[in-house]
Amino acid sequence: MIIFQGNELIEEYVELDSPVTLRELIAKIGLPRESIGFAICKSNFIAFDDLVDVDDEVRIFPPLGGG
Amino acid sequence: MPFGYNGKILHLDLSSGSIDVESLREEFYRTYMGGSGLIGYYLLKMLKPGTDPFSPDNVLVFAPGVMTGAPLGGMCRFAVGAKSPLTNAFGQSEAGGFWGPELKRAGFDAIVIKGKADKPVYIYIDDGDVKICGAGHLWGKKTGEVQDIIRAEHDDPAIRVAQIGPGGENLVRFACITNELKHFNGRNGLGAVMGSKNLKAIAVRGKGQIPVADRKLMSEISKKFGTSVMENPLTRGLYENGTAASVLGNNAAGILPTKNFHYGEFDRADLISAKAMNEKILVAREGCYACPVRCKRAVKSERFSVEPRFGGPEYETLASFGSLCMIDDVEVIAKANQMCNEYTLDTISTGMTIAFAMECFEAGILTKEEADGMELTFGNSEALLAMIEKIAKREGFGDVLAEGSKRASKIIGRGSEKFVLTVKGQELPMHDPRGKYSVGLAYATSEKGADHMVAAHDTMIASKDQYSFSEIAPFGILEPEKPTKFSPLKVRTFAYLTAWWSFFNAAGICDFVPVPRSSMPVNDVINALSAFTGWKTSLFEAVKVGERALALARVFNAREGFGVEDDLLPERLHSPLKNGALKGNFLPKEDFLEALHLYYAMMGWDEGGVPTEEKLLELGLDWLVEGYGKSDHISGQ
Repeated sequence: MIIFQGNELIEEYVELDSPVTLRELIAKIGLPRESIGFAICKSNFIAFDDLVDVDDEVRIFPPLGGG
Repeated sequence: MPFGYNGKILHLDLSSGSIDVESLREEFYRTYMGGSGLIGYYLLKMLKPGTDPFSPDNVLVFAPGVMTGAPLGGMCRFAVGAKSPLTNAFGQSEAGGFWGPELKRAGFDAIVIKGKADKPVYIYIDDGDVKICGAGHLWGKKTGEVQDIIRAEHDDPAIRVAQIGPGGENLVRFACITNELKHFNGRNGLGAVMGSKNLKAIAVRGKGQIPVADRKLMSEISKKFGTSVMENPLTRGLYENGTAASVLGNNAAGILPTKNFHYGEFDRADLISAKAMNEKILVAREGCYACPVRCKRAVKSERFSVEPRFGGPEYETLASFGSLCMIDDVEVIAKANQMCNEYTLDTISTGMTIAFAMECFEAGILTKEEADGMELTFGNSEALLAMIEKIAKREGFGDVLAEGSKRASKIIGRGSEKFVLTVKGQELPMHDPRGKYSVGLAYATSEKGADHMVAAHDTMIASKDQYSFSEIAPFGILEPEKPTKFSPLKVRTFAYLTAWWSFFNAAGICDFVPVPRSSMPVNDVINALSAFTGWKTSLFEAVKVGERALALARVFNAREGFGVEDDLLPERLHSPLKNGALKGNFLPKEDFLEALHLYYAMMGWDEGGVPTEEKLLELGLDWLVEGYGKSDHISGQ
């Protein structure tokens, strides 16, 4: 899992036995849902109820704007 | 005495030297507010269709909004408008800083300029007193020196100077206008319109106060916003890292334009990031009039003689000279930024036009000889800096690129047009719509050509649990949509928020203050408008002002012959991203066209993207509809 926070990319490895939802995954690492703007996995934007597989790389972002 | 505005518009004819003041009533300000709305009004009234943008007949408008100068963060903006020499369409570009509030404190709500001076001049406004002064001694000089001379001439270091450098004088089609050396009306080549009129600068000093209708309410909103700035992650991020934070964020998301939009990820992005900037060159975090966000940067590099007084690169500049041109040295980018600031070139179009030339060079379309002996390859820092100077001075191959990438490709030929990434002739900003579809719709439909500051970006409002999304509930938007999807919900959200953004422009409000991009809630924005002007107003009225400004610009463009074929995107955006987190994503053309026509219909525009007569009547623009032209206006004489 790669988390973009503030001005840095933070890498976190989460051991999974089976696929979990994004909601469950972020709960495991203690990220508050309100801090998350969007997430990308396997070249796709994913929602909280989408499943993440054990070998997937998930990238998590705060809201990103223009300017 | 009105609250929030002066009721006076300054009119100058540089051919005759005449100076007039038009008095206007409240109805005018409530209808158009300022910015793009006011510009649309005067361009449609005063400019004949088909006018050459460099003709003396072009009309140049400097327009703050009704909120500009309010004692509240972000109320600093002013727009400049004219027919654009880059696009031949409605030209309009906003800046922050201090110049807009200063003009209002000097007693004017806008300046409308026509004609051409027979020799270089600058306009000096001192608390309602207006003079046209000779500028022969300033012509050819760069911006820093010009500001020093004008302030010394009037023995007043507090004079605010909006001006052009040699890029504007030399009619570079993407020349910008700067104020305070570090704030820019960047896009659409409006600096070249100033140059074509022999107008070097507008220097303003205003010591008056703009009356506030309800000081107590204004103070409450201001205090609340000040507190929220450091609590809200979006505004705190703007303070800590400026817009530069987007470099690493967009790169990780795979939508950082790289190598002229071939790629979405730059493997050396960390070297041009906010972190690199903060560690290597940042000397100060600065801001605009009355604003606690302080998103502006001041940087210094001894290696390249980069001075803090010219500010520092924004995200757009870090990407357009960085990843787009494959340059990985943040000090080179800071130097390129300062050169553009001194010569007054738009950094987005400059970077994009040079990246276009680099692609031509690497494809064998341009020879070394044609490129003035340079190896114009991606990643060549020396060539980048040399080419900026040549563009500003219109020297050698720089004279071709000074026309902008679309015209340059017509001069070069040989298939180079496939490397051009423009809409209506204006180069794309540094956001890849293949990862945020609304931005594609914004680029396509903006009256001024590709622009990233006219609508919310999908990645700002993609999660239901997020503050920035939940705060747009007053628009009736209750569900988010995936960034890479077009749907009726997506288009409806885009339509409402485009009108909201258009209202910011008309009112003079910075996009980095209200929700969803920042932390000031919708109701506080509307209450601030009410507190400043004394109007009983509403979100409904604000959104209608935004829609009206958009409609005026669309009518202007239709009159100039623009149609649906000008609201299309470059083919590259309809083909897959070649790397990064969103590798393989593209903007499906059929989905895009469907969304485009749905947007037209939702806005009350016809199949050609032109507001229908019924829509113009609904917006109270009777004077634009033949047979209904009776409600025009609004003189206070």
